[in-house]
Amino acid sequence: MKNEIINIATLSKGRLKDQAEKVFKKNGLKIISKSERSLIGSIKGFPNVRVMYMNATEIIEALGKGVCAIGISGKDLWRESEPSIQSKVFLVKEFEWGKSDLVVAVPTTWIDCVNSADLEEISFEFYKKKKRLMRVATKFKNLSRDWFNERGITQYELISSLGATENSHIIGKSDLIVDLSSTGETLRQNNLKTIEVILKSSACLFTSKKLKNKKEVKKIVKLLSK
Amino acid sequence: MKSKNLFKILKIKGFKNIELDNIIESKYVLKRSGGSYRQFLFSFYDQNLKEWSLVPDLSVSSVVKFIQNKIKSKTKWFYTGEAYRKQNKNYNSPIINQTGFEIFASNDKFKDDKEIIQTSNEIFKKSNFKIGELNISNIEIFNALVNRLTLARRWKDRIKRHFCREVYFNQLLKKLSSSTDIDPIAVEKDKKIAEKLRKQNLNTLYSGRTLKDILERFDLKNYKEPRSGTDKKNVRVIKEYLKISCPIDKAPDTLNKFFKKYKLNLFISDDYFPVGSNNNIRIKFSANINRSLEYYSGMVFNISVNKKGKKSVLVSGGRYDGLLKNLGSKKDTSAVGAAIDMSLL
Repeated sequence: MKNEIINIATLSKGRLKDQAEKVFKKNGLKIISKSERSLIGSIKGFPNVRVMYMNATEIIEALGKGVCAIGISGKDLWRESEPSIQSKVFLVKEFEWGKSDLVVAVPTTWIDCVNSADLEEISFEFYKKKKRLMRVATKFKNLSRDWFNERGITQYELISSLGATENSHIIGKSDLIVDLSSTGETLRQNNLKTIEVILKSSACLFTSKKLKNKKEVKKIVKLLSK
Repeated sequence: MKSKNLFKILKIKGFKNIELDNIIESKYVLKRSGGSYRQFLFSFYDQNLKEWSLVPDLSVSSVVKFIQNKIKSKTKWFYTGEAYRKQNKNYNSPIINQTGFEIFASNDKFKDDKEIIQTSNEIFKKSNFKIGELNISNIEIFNALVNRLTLARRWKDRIKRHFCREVYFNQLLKKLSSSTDIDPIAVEKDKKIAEKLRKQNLNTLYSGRTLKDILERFDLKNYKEPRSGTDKKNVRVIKEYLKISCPIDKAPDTLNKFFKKYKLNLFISDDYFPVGSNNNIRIKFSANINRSLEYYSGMVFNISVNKKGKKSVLVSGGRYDGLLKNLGSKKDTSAVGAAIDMSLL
């Protein structure tokens, strides 16, 4: 279909927004937006292309639903998304920026806990002695559930935590956490230690499987993935 | 075979048809399988904030019904209907047709195990399949074998606990034979931290755990029951045991020779298994069967058939003595049962 608009989603704020814009610029795709605060832009020389500034999680959803053809977001958010969304999004390239690890972290005072097998035993200790399930604070519920399942840990409860997850064990909201860590400094500052890395994440270039074979989409993807 | 013929067999054998509810309180399912099972549940809350689920497994539902009816005597039930489970990343239907039969308050284990197996064999005989294989094993043999190994207690418990999770079970064996998960530098560092922590109040709570519990477990791992140097040999014994497969009448002899070879001081009598050889079906002892259900505690069996060149399990079952207490029964109540794959009939 002629003159069909192609939506490209990129990050709307923060340090990663600048990094993402550099990827466009480096590959000869200059984003033009009306103002600093405008959440919609265009690309010089591509009249049918619209750039949309969005939240990183919403970018994955927009790609999965075919609203956007191309997007830059995090691998962690893609892997965390629901299977019905994840299966409709194709990972084109992993960038060397926006790197972080999704880790399972326990209090440093749990010196008897160094791996998942220890954690599994400790979960039984909670059930036996506290008559409750071991609590895990995270915003990555799907990835956490898969990891616990793979390691045979069944006696746990996931607690939603959308921010400042690292202090949830101090305030008594949880017993341990699953969260992103770049340098490990925030974990250390909050008396936590990593026992296992669930996922190594970075910023990635994605396409919608439904739209990835369109001629103009292919052209832009080729440029962005250089 | 038509369903009515199957039900006729079960009724003749004394099993009573029961109706099960389509919903169950989520706590019963989660008590049995823990938080990881939640992802498969279709659950919702009522106006009193009590969480319910569409029944994900009819055998659990029948157990709950038995407990709630406060029946004390031996009871033989069969049921048929739909169970509902979310499918994980594939597009199979969430509706699963299940038919099963159970004996609750089964105190004569040998007799009732035999009855469940014989009823299953009767169903096979009346089915359209001419050739089948009846595989029998017993979780008790595996547990006794693990208990005889020179492993740290916590490793024995782990191996027994995860027998039902084959992938993770194999990872555990790998870990046990390689010791790659132990970082000696980190262990020494932790030992120094432990000495400092010992000076504190042992009742201090650290993220839900007392310092006493933390140090007790630390000492158990590092001082009282550290990993032994014979772990590789123990792993070999387990792996070799799981490969044992032989005609049922030769099983006691084969197993006793195996136990003798590894000096395990175990003995299986000739009449240990509830059924002997039979003319209509090949009967085997197979150590490595029915590993996907964690509640089996004793005899386990299945009948496999060939359908379009593919081996499929027609009937599968076993003894689950601990499940009823786990789901709320006030006293230990034994049970044994089996499920039939109706799509094969």
